[in-house]
Amino acid sequence: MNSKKYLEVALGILTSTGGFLEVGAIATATQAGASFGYQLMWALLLGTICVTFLVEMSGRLAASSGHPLPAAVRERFGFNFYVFPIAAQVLVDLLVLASEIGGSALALQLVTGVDYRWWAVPVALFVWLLLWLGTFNVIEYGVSILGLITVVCIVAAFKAHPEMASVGKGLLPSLPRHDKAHYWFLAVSMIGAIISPYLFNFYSSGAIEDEWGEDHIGVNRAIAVIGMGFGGLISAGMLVAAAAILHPRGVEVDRYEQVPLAITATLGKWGFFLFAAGLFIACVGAAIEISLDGAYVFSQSFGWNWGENAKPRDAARFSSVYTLMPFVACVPMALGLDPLAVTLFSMAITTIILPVIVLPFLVLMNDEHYVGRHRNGFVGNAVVFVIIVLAAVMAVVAIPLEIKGGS
Amino acid sequence: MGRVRAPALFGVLVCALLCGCGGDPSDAAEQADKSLRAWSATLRVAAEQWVDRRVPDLYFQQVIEAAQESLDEQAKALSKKMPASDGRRKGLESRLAELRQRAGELSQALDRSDRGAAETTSRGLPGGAAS
Repeated sequence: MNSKKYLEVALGILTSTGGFLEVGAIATATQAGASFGYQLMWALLLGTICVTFLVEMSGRLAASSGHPLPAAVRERFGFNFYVFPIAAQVLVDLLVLASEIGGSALALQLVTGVDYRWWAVPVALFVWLLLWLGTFNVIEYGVSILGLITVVCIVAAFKAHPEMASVGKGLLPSLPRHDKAHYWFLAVSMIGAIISPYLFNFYSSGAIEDEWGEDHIGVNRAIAVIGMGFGGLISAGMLVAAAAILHPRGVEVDRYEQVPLAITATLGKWGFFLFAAGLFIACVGAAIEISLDGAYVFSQSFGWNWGENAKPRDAARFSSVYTLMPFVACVPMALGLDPLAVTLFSMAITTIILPVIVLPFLVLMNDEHYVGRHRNGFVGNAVVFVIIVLAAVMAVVAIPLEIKGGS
Repeated sequence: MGRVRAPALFGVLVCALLCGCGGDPSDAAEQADKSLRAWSATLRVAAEQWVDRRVPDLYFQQVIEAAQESLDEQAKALSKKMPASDGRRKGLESRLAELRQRAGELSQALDRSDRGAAETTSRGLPGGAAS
């Protein structure tokens, strides 16, 4: 591999890590650690394995076929079939985008004391300005490099001196001793937070914007495995910090305001400010990716010009979609909807719709017409199929139980 | 499932989760008890960190306000979902009132930058233990 490829891998890893980390991953990991100690580490591991396979597949599809995922699904299955996945995708994108705007607004509230509702519209404006003025690489690499601040979660986890035997034990699924409905709801929310469908569309479209070809198959694999693995490690850091600090004291996380306590216990005031900065950057980064995902999905479905590297006037409808999305999604937050409730719910709903998005994707990855000799192997197909179907079934059962408040 | 019913069901699910429906008095009592223990523990942890100067004043204030808002919501939920004749309601309301008073004391200690008073108040808070 030459030095240019190494640079591509390094920047790609940063981007992947940035894509992995968002408010859902942070919120669900903290809630899981606070409520159930290390017991839900397995959900994080399962989600990370699955998303690694899926991200690698979406990059491989783009590199080998020259098609981003939404365009390939539309072409392979036809528009009539595609209507349902696109509708589900856009609905979930808006919910998750609302969560990300809520997360950014909460980060600003933490450091300024001004209520998050007042920050919702300025955050949407900031996201739009970055999209309007920036190019794909500047936005992605900029946000991802700044997002490395979230490493503070790993530092906090180590400084909390967790019991490593318990951490290891948590990697194996086990039944909860209390609050069974909440346990399963959190498990599916964690999986939904990690396996966000927008990530695959965004990643494959980004690969096309970066003009990937078959010579990028190896680069793509390295980026997917290391980037997603590193993102999973940061989420695990948040879970471990919450499990070591909050769980023994009986703190359960009902509000975002409680989350920094897992960090400040070991890192003090600078940990607080780094956490707030990391939360803000991670959420803004995710909000940018989701807004772009909406624009990619619509443009590739309807055959419009698209590309973040294109000037807005050259891709007018593409730019209109990414302009509209943050301003629509900021409304629930500006009206005062509970950001944590919206986050958890959107992550759980994501899990339910995953089969609709992922199963056509799996068909594509086994179609020689698209991926040629880079077809999926048995292991890749089996892992993704089993995890996605299992998570969707768990979500269908757990969401009504959580709503009922049963245990 | 028909075209009309699917979005309707989704809407009901959204409203149910975000608004928190569920009228069983036992569930309401269990929820209130859990919330009380969790917020008591949160206030204690936050107060200890503030006393040790590990969190900014502005953040400590936000934790107290979040606790007060959540406790107010629990009080409203109790009066809505549990009949006044239910013996558990009185006990829970009394614990809620006590915790709200402690939160108020912490807020006053913060206003005066009186870390000693905050420490005394936090020691008096019942601590939750992991189950």
